[in-house]
Amino acid sequence: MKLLPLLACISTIASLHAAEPITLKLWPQGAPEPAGFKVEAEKEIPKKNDADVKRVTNVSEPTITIYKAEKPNGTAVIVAPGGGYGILAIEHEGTQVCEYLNTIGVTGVLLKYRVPARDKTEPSKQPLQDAQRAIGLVRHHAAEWGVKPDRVGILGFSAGGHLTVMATLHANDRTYTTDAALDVADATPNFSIPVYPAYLVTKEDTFVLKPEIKVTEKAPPMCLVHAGDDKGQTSSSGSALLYLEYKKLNLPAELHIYAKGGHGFGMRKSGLPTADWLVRVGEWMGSMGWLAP
Amino acid sequence: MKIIPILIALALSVSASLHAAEPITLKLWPDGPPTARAPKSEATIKQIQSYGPITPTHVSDVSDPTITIFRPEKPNGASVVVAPGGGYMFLSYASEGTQVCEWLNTLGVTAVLLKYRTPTRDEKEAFTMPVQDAQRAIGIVRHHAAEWSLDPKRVGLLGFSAGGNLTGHAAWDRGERTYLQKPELDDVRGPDFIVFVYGGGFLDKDTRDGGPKFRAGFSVPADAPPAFFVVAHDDKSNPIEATMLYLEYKKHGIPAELHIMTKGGHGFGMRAAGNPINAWPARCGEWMNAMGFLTPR
Repeated sequence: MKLLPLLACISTIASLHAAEPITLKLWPQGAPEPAGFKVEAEKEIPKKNDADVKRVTNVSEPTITIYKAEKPNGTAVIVAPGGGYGILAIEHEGTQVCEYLNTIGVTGVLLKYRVPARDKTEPSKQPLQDAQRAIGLVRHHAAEWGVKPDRVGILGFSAGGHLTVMATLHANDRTYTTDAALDVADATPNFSIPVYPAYLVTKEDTFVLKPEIKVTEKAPPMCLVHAGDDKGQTSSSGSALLYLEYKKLNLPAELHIYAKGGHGFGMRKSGLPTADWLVRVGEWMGSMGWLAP
Repeated sequence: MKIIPILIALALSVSASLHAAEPITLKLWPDGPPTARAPKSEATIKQIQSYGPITPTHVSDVSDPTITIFRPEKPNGASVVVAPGGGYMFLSYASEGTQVCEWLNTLGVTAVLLKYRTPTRDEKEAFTMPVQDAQRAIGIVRHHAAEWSLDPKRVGLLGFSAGGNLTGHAAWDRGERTYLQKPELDDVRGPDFIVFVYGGGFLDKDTRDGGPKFRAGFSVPADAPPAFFVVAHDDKSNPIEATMLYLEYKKHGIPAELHIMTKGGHGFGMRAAGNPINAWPARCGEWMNAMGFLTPR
């Protein structure tokens, strides 16, 4: 009988396909773009070497890609890669994060937001629209994906960390017309994980938060991760200062600043304690009760 | 009967070998401490009583302070002086003392348990005598470096709560020392690195004119030793203090690590309470390793 191996082969392909992440457009009718904005073809810049990172740019059709856990515990995390609002470090600050989240039962939602910046004076404007819409879509699909709508977090790196903070503190400051079928009235995430967030501090003084980084009683629990030798616009002082704002209001927060690690380590293996940052984040989520079914 | 002498000989040899492995204890002040503690006030006596009975793991009335040396099987040259907490009223001698030393030994670190003068709540500054004890302890460790297979440039200081306050003063105060220095027992240098576990006491308690700020006259010096801060978010103002201290380190560009876990409260020491913060010794060991303190030079 030669049928059995063939059947086995077919069923393997089927199960592989079933596990493939699904991708949804955030704006089925096209994203709201500034007047006269010209669309260039999206392109992927492959890694030059092992030390390099895979990049995506010219994103004008932003999407979310759903990485379902084998045994979902009901928690979902939207993952926003970094890249200075110019590109997206889609792999070591994106897909690999989603894959790790799956191992702790968390549904990973990779957010491919619009880059490069449409407006240099407000580079997070369109990405924030994308994040707000992404939260709406995840909550609308919650039942279908085995996610609890009140357990949707957001995690982002560098510029994506800034986006994470903006999506947390300015969740309902909309600059687009909402659609009840795709958006939710309150797009505040249930928790927030900025990883070496950029642009929190002023250019003149990296020990002063920008005025828009303002924490209110509505802010959900936050876990900040940073390396202490991160400098300038991505200085670890930003995370420390943001933590203090949470503490002043007595809102739940966690802060991990490592002595070493630099910027942009993402999921890279380094042998430094920063390489386990996502384990620390998982422990935090567990301590907050978000990994229990 | 010849069996009894044999038994005695056997017992003696067992006790001799046990004693060889037993940590040794040294007096910090062979001729007595530089200043004697003031008699305890009624308030101090009452407060100490409120924390429970005095036991070997809950020590008080320390007038003749000591260090006890816990040597690892394979010393890597690093040493850490351990200062238990207890509000300068008592010493939490097990979960913030002996158990810490046993953990440090597993990393190859020689641990030096500091039994500092307590209580000192009725002194002008509660930390003055404990800081003298810590300074003397570090001096003795450096003088014994060769004998104990230690690197005199990798002597750390780790303190909990009031012991954290002591650690901070020993690391950051730059004034004259408050006791007569003996060249054979003291060393001018402070700790080479510090571990600050839910410490406090550097903030101005009066916050009427705005947000939290440091006590008048306090600053982190530009030559402060590398620091590891760990504290729980739900430990009153201690996480604010650790974050503000961290920011001072950052301004100076001195390497520092800060872990604030959401849950944990105060005084957990080495207890396995099941919160992520209870793995702080692992985090601290990783930091020491990343900083190169565990590597023989």
